[in-house]
Amino acid sequence: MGSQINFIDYYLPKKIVSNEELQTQFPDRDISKMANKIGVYKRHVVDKEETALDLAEKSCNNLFKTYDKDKIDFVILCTQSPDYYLPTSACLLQQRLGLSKNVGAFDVNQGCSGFIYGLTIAKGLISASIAKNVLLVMSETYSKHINSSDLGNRMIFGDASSAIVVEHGESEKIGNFVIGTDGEGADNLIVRNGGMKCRFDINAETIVSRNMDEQTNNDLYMNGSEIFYFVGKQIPQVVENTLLKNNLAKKDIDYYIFHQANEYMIDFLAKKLKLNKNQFYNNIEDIGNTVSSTIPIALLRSISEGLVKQGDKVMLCGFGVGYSWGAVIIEI
Amino acid sequence: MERKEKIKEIVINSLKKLGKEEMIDGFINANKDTKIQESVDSMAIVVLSVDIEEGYKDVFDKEIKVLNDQDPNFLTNFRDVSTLVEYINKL
Repeated sequence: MGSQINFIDYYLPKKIVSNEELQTQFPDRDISKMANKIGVYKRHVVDKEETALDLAEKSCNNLFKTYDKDKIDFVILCTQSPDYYLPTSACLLQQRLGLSKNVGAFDVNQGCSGFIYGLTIAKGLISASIAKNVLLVMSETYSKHINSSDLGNRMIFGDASSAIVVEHGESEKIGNFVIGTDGEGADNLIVRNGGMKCRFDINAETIVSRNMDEQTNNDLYMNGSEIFYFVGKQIPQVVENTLLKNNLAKKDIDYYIFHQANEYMIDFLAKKLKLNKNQFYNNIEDIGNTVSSTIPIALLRSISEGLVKQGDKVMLCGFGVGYSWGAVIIEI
Repeated sequence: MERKEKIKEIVINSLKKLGKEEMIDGFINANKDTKIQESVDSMAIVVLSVDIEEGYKDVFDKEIKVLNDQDPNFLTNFRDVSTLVEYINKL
């Protein structure tokens, strides 16, 4: 028995923040220069009362317009913005979606590699005959973690949810995975306060970065240079290892969909891997970096745009917070 | 060729490559006096660092880490070619 991705959909919150709006809020910063580099011109963000669980529910309901939800027997929800410490958002999602009480459901706390990690679990559940049709949901609201005076991160990240169904099938269309972790990079992308070690601190000191972005330890901190450095050093090797593990060469891959971190980083990876830019998805101008949803959204868009076709072999690669990374080759 | 000369060659080659990619004229004809930091942003510094590290590994068969963004004064190492060569020579 094999597994395959057959259904994908997503949901973006209604509220849009444009670069023009950000320029009004940050008159002293050159936003058009930043936008040209990172390739983001607007992004969707949640309202104060809207959570990642709300987005997850909406992306799943979009998916259920074409998929019979009664077939689902397992739910995996990838988020770093849960409604509660406990219970998991996946349990609440099961109830909201009206799924059978016989489904398994749990959360995965993972960021930009979360989709790949979710796929590893879904494939494992199917190959072990624990489940047949796994609903894999990615839902993230980093805007809630970002300080309103942190322009750099507000420029990059957008909120979104995506949902896919991994189904059992006759042939295996999800290849062998390469995954990895390097916790030494943990401090370079982190929300320090709010967990059990350091509780949320209403009096947390404001820190001003070299780029004049402001944040406290209650907010998301990202050392962009160190993250980019990790990607530049690690990901080309991950791509090579994924090809090796699947007994394939670059010429066998029809299309590459990497985590859409920012335009410059994706361009850099394409050059470094000596890949044809036409085989490389790079488009986040209207949604920004949506964390674990960038790959499924890009996959759906590349299929809709005719860039990826039935039978194509597509390499997916996610990387980021942790550090954490993962890659796989799927057949459409 | 002495070690520092080899490092200078690596740095200049990497700058020329970056100059072509980013269309920075000053880098395409880089020499020991070429100013670096004032012409590039943090992302280009990372690209340059990665390329220099790879060049260094090819020449000296040793891994180094040029980027050290944890150090608040790190960018001063990228003031110009000579400063960067001195910094790398001490790694």
